[in-house]
Amino acid sequence: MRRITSRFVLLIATAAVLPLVVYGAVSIRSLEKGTYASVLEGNTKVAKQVAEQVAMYVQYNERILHSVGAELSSTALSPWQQDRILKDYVLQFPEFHEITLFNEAGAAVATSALETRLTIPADAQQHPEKEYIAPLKVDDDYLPTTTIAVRLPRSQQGAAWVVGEISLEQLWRMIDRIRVGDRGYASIVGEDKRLIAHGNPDEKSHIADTEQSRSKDELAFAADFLAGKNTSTEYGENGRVILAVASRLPGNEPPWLVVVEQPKDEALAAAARIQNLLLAAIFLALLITVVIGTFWGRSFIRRIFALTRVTRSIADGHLDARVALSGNDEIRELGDAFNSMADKLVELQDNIRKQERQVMFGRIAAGLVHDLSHPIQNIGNSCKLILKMWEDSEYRDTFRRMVEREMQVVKRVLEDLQNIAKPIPLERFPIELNRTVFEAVESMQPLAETAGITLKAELAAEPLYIEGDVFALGRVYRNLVVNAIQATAPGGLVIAATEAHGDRIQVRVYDTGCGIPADRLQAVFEDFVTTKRRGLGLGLAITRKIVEQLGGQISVASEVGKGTTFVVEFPRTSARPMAQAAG
Amino acid sequence: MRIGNGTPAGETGATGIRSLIAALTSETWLTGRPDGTQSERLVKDWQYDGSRTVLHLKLRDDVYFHDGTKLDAALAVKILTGTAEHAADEGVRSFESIKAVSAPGADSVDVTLSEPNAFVVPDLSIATVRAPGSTTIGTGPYVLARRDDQGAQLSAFPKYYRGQPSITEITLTNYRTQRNAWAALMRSDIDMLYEVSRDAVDFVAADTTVHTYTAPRPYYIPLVFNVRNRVLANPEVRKAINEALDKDALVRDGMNGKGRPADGPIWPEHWARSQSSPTFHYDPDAARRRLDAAGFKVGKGDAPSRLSFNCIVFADDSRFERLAVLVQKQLADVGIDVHLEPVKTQAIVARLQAGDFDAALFEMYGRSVSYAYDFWHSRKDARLNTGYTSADAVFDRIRRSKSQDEMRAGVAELARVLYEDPPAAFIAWQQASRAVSARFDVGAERDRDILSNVWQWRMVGSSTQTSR
Repeated sequence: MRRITSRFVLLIATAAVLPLVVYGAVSIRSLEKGTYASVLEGNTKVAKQVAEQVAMYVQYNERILHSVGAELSSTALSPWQQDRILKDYVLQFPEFHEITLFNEAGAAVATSALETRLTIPADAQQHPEKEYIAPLKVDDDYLPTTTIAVRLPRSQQGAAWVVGEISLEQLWRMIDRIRVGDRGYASIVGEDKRLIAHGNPDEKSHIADTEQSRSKDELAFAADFLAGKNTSTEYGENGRVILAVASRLPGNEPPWLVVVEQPKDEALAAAARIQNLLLAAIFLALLITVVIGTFWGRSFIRRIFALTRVTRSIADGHLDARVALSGNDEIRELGDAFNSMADKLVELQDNIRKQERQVMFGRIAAGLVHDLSHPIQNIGNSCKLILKMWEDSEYRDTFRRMVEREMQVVKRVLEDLQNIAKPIPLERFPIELNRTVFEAVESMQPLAETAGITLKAELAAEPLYIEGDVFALGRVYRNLVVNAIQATAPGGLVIAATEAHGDRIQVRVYDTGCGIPADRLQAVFEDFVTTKRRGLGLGLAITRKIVEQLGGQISVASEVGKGTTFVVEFPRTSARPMAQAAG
Repeated sequence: MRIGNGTPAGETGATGIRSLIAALTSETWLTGRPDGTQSERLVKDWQYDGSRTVLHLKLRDDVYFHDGTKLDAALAVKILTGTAEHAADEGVRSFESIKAVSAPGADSVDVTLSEPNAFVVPDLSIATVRAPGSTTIGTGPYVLARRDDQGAQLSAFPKYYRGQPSITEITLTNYRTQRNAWAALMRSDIDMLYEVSRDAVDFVAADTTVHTYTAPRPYYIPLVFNVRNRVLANPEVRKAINEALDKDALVRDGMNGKGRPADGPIWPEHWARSQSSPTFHYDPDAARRRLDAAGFKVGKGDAPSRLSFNCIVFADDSRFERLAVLVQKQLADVGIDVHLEPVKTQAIVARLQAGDFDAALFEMYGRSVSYAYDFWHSRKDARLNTGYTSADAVFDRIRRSKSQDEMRAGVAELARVLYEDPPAAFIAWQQASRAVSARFDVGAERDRDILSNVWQWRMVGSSTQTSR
């Protein structure tokens, strides 16, 4: 009963939600990919902007030194004035730890510090045409520093170079302000992949770490990016997946790398939220669809179930069963039609029963007339004669025998009528089947000869014992043989055979007669059914009744034009007839 | 716990590992409060007699030295007597007034003074209590186990009267510079940075693995004048210098905002200070007018200035370099040319005592009025040989004050004298920042140095120790 409900719900769910699920899956996938690409693009833009800011920071400091150089070299300044200018610059621009003016010989001419710690970088002297930014170095505190050297265009007062030491702690302040989302940070990596700055407070200590203990993935990404192999990557860090993108500084001056990292779960959080909403919406839609489908489907199917119940009830014989369907649709119309059909069925059945009764009564009457008219007529004729020949004692004796004989016929007909309605009294004893069959065949030989038919008995070699009534069984065999003889044309064959099949014993009577049509075959054992023109049609009915009362079963197979075979089967018994047992 | 200290190797008594060891191993007789008053410590009660020449002290009865010796009245007499004999070296000059120390009871000590001295009780919160004949055996929560050039090793004192410290071992490490020590903290080579430089506080505070604790430090930075100098002998010049200095800008730009302007040698929260005392305000125009009126006009020479003098500065202490340059710039703006001379720490102390300087920029302790007396009174063996005597009389009156009212009146008078004839430009009071790994809970309180309760520190997540 549930199958149609399930199928109905499944149908609705599939038809309504499957497209939605497919759409949702495609949308989610597209959303993920699109968001990922968008995040990478956005973070890359951030990295580029930070790189530009860092480059501007460096260029800004270069310009400061240029400005210092221009101020110092444009006019003749006394040492104390130079000293004052340098100190003013350092005070004004805290990025500089120190600014010192050097002459061509490399001696400090003026300095902002109490005692200078700087010298002219050797590499700067080899390329005096442009600003020189020294490679990052790690000072005694293991912190990164760098030096910028600017060649003065005109050497006045012996001043040739202005060298400034940049405090990268100021750069850190800039990087600290960079945030991507809540937990995304920027970092700067030097040309030797050394960490210069890190915006993540938890990672900042690595700047001073002598081993710069960072993950291999981070270092590998920096190396790959510098080699042009990779512009973004993912790696695990402290149990989280990190998205990383990078950007060089514009013009690659200095050759630093800005890396922007953001936890992947945070980066894709918006997409994840939408995805969850979409999933929730799909689930809700499915749930609503299932609920509505179930509710509506049940109201729809319930009526079909009701119709089914009533149909079965009628099939079981309760012809008064009717279905009451609610609604105002085709199902209701079906129910009304069904009820009308049931009413008509009852009416038809009553009519058929009437007709059958009439036919049966007609047949019974005809059979009775047929079976009784002859003996009654003989008796009537003989009564007329006895009046005339009363004096003839021999005729009186003949009259008596004739009346007794015809009365036996009448009595037999009346007994058959009586037996078909109630169990036939039988006595069961162990009997030898072959013998009873043989005796029956022998008693039917004169009838067979008269009909021009060959009647044979093909018996099993071994004795076959069953529990049976000799006289009833004799009637069974004679009835089957008589029917076979009557159905077979002259020159035909009728055989009665016995056979053992394990614990069952078969008696088969088959003929080469006209056969029984298939549509009548199942009805041959019914009361008052006959293929003959006259008679009550009780022979095979009584035969079946006797066989079944003895625990056996009878069946028939026939082919029109070829013959008929009746098979009677009994259970075998291990008991033996008393005479044989005694003997 | 590993503590790093980054000050110049030639440390002063005010800074450096020596003071840190003293803070961990030793205690004072009394505890000095931020307002200049005292509270009990090894001495749980004290009072003067009527003449204020006998100070009765009541000792705790559960204090032990690291060698197991119990501090009783007899031992306290010995210690106080020894301290008084070396009062100048111990930094408690008021103890020179101590005539005798006796023990009338097992836990009571009488300190007899030759004359009333209001600085004795405050100096009891400065004088370090150590076992006689020892420089390392104290009553503090930690015992010095090893000391060398690289640092020191201390272990918890089980019989500390406030309870054995939860942290059982402390390693002290000297670093060449402040920056060096800070970098070590970043690398997690140490758990605590004793002193975080002004420049590094912001960065250290941003580090989530450490906690930074900042508290007022009772040290001020003066630009000390040697009044024997030809130009600095003129009080108008010294007043002009005070007016020319923008102390707010000096704190902001020269100390990274880690400090507060100062207007004298007395701690701003000292109970005896008067809030209505005269102070100098930044007024460069007034400074110029004053210098003009004093006859110091802008010259026409190579370096046009009104006057010039030399100023010695700590050579290897970055804290002072930037400040000195700023001071130089601000004075240059009013025509005062200051030559900055970097000098090693030990040399500065010697030159200050010898009077071999024109001006000096360094730091001085200022919680106690007794130290103001020590620095600015022209005694024969004064810490500073500046030739300044204008405040001697008022300092003496303060020293002899017998009541709080007398003390307040004296301090107010002192402020007026220092304003009329300033011996220095009192630039700023400092802040001390200390950084401790987040693994440790130090029980910080606002405006209090976390070292004051080091015996209560513990690892985060460990249970508090059971007090004795």
